[in-house]
Amino acid sequence: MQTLQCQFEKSLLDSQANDLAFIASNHKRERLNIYRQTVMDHCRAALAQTFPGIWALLGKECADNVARLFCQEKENLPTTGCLEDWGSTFPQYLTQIKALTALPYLQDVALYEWYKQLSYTAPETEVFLLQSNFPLQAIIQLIDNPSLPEVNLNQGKAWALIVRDNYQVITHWLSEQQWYQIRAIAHAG
Amino acid sequence: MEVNLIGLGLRHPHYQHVLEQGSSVDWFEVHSENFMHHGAARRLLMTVRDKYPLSLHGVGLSLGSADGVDKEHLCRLKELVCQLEPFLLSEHLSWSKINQTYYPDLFPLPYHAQSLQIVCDNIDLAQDYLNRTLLIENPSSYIEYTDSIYREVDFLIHVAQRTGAKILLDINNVVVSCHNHHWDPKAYILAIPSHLVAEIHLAGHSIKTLEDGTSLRIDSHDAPVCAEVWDLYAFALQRFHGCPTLLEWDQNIPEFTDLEQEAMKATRYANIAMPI
Repeated sequence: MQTLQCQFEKSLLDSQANDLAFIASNHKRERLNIYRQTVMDHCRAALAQTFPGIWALLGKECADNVARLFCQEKENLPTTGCLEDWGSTFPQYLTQIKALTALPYLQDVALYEWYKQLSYTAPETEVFLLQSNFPLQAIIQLIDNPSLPEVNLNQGKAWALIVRDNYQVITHWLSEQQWYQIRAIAHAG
Repeated sequence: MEVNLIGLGLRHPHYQHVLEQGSSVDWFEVHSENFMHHGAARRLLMTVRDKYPLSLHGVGLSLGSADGVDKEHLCRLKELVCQLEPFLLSEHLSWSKINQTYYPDLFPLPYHAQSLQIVCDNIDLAQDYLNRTLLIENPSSYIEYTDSIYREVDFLIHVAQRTGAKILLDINNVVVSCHNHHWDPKAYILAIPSHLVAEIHLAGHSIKTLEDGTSLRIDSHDAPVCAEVWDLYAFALQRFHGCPTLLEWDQNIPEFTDLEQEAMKATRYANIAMPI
């Protein structure tokens, strides 16, 4: 069984795999492709749900493509049965895509969204601290309201505290001094 | 809390509606994996649980994995079960984990003696640890394995009889798999001893046409229940009368009231079905 499940996995990950003799049905490739497609659809939907700002900034087609590339590498696939656990490496992955190097703030937007996800799934007592070399608050506001003026990427850094209040994740945009004070308190605690 | 017949798969867009306006369905079912954290979602679910009977339906336990059940996942599930005390607890006859990789899908099993042993061992372990009887859902599938020796339905019956688990009979999955593998759906239903079935699922599916003009049915949960599934449900109810029935809809999810109406169609079938 272990061998068969390894063979199934290998065939799933390699759409050109030729050894499909373990499948008795006709239309072997088309049938296996349904599983391949379902895995990809579920992974992509999970990423789009966790990182809506990335989908808004890149557009659906481009973001779906990035998700597909991410999921083609086995080491990026989920390692637990709970999809909400998954996505921590996606922000860093965005920096590895050459076509996205002109958007250096993407990683920080994704990190911000990952921390929001962590906050949503964590007990209310947990807080998450994020600092960015980009004007993240303005970028997030622009994602939420595309009619706002363009963001000057040189207009400053951002410091954020992310917490959950009941069912709502709340971001407090802080001054640099406030951020370091809270971080010191958090570390001391 | 009294549990009647008709339930609905509760998905995130509908929580607010259910909590504010209530529902005419009798109970709700949710995916266990969406509530394993102690976050906002769990808290929201607890408020639903205070008002309606709840069933937990798992998609991540991977009971067919040759490398065994993930103890960490089982531990998280137990914690959730202890807090929610669901009236039903179900999983799938499938696998999705190999080594440390989880694939978010339900892969089919070969049906032979070795796989039967693996599934039964995994279910025994899960039931012992959870101290609960599991309901095992028949899968929808797109491939059959070369080395299978059992019919799927016979394999499922063996699993239930050997482990004491019950069967969650997904009528849509029967229609989908029977079409894809040229099995007889009524023979599938008739093979199952009536005392083994503890829940019925209904859902919609889609059709994929292949290059040669033949088709495969896809368990997409993105459409109303089709006439063929309703007909087989009516047939199944003659055998499994009184089973709680649940409607699932996971993609292109309609407004709650539309979903509720679709679920309540099952009431009509349930009310006219006479046991044979």
